[in-house]
Amino acid sequence: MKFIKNTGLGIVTTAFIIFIASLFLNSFKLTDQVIINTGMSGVQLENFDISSQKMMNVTYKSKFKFLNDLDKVFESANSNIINKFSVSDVDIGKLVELSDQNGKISYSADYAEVIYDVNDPITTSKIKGIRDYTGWMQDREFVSAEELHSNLTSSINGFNNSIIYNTAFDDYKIKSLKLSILMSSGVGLLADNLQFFFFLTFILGIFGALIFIIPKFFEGTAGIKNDNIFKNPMNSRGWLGIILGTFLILFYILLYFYPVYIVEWIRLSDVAGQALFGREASQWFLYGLLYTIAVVVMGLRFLTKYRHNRYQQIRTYSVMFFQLGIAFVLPQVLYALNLPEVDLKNIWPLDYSLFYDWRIDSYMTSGALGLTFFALGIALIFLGVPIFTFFFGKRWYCSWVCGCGGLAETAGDPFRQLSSKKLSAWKIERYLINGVLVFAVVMTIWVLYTSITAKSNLLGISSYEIRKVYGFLISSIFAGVVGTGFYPLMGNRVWCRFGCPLAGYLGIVQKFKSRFRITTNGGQCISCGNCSTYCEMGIDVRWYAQRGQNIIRSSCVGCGVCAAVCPRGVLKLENKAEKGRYNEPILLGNDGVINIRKARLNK
Amino acid sequence: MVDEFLQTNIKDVYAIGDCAQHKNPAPNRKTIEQVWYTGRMQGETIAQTICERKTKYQPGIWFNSAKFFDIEYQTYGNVGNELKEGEEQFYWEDKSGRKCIKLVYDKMDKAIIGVNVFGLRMKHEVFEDWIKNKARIHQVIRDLRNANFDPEFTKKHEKEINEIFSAEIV
Repeated sequence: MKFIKNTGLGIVTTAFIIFIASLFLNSFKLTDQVIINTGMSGVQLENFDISSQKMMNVTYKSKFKFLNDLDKVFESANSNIINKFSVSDVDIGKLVELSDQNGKISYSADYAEVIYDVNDPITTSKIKGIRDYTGWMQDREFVSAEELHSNLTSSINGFNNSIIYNTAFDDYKIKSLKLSILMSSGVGLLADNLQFFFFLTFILGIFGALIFIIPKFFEGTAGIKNDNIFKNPMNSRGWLGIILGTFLILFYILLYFYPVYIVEWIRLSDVAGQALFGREASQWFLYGLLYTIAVVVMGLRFLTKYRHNRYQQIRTYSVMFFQLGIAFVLPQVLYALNLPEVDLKNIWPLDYSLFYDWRIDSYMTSGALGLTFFALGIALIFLGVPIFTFFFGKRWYCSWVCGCGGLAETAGDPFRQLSSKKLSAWKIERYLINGVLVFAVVMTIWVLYTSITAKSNLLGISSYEIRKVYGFLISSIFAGVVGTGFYPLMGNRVWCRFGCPLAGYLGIVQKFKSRFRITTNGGQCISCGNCSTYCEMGIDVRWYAQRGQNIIRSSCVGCGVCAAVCPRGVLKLENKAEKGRYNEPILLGNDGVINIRKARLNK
Repeated sequence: MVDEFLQTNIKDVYAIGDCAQHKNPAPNRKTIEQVWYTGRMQGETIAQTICERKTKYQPGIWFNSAKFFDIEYQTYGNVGNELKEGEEQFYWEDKSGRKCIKLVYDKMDKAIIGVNVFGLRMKHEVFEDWIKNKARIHQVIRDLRNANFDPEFTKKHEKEINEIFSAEIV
């Protein structure tokens, strides 16, 4: 058994090393085909071609050198385009001259047609630019030629500066073109054997993990085995945990901000993307694939560990189903059917972009089903969350359905004991999570204003600016880099506990209007502290259990692990009548189970 | 040797824990009880006395729990290793061999005396109430589900236990 498990572990490690190494196995070559694949056309294609002459068909060993040279190509193409398309000082001088008629200086944009050829595409764009940007000066009279000249210069500068966005390559375009070029310009060992490497990394990795995990179903007796967990360098912020945490943090930074550096992984995931859905992979498909594999494979591990507990079993089947079926496969099916590609179980404000103009447009233009999806999204916010949370607590979502919760409960399970139980952590948690909820609501007010009125500014703040800040700070840094990257350092619910605005909303309902609570069993608690140790939300469960008080906390996701690890059967998750939910602590010191108030009255 | 206030023969000197032997133990309680729970209860009682609310040690109905390898054990009331004079028992064991319940009751008035459970979780309050108020074994078996403290979705056995009970004991 041990040999089989070690073999599995060896295979996983090998697959992981090959996965990392694959980032360095490609060379890069810019070819005509690569350029065609990017879909560039017109002026951009023409100028890219001119500027990239030196790079063409040269094989680069280094990705960094290749990217560096690509940057230079875009730079030179940009400067060529701007040179060609901008209105020069000399031309501005000519316009001023034409406006000066015997000392009377009256400007007209029509003079542009005098100085430029109206049949040439480049000069017609200049004529249009001059008309657009100097329209406000039409037929105005100026006191001096100098005054006209300075007014013209500043207006035309506006046009010249817009060329980079309208005609040349702006930063956003460069970023997406670079990714597209990197995707198809790889040559060499990896590019020639993509399927083989997909096998060596993804398939072999999953296979090894299964070999490691499946024997655990038959090992020993069913029951909680957390022996030596704090001596394991992976589970106790030891060297393995620090390495894994660093890897995850780097992975998220590259995924969100510099996907060109993990383009080999995107290409590997493309093998699965093409085979499963006949669709080219993006960085988000790579992420979705890895995420789903993590939930399903580590879900199996969770099933082995808690195989004595049916609540844990059923709950884990549920999170595996929602990740695999609803979050991973269904959006691809919807895409194939030309419907909005959405994760239907995602709820605002976790799904913070629900009311973005492009999201609403995509629902509105997809017929009755599109409208149904949008209605479902809204119904979940205003009916689903309060009703289900009233009956079952926030666990119906956080530990049964949610993708973030699903990853935390499966891949994150080995790290649940690392969540801080300090009072100070609880304080920080309340400020942060409710703060993010307020931020999400405020952002959405701005977004709705833009979606309804098509204007971007409200109270002098741009709706696009505020969503950019939210997207960067909350959805990328907090949810991804910190939320998951810090699993091996701060426990598996960093995002859910400190950042998730939906968890904040669910928590408020759970705290004030719900039938859910964790009850304690009389005087049976022995203060061992297993419940607090393995609470991923950092709740000091023992403090309540010792005094026989119901545990009602807005953060509790109802994973049920406290009840599973309790050696004395003291804790139980229950949905019961609201009355008496917040009970008095019971004095356990004397005469079995009596109420502390009764004890005081007797004195 | 301590009295009902856990006081030794010297005034203001108290003793609790494994070393404390009761001169007059409460009914159905032993003179020395060396388990975790009695230690805690004695500690909390003495704390009341120290805080000038002189409190008698009244441990109530005996209870204890443990975990043997992966099998949880709970007990309420008095269940000996062998039946005492005038006692009868009902025993049920699951096919898995990992769950069982043993209920001891009075032969004459059928009042419940104690319970041992393995692999099942039972509510402290409910059994304490039954034992204190001498509930009949028939009632205990009939209402056994009220004492169930197992996690949600755990396989339930009350129906089976009821059927076996009615078949065995009339």
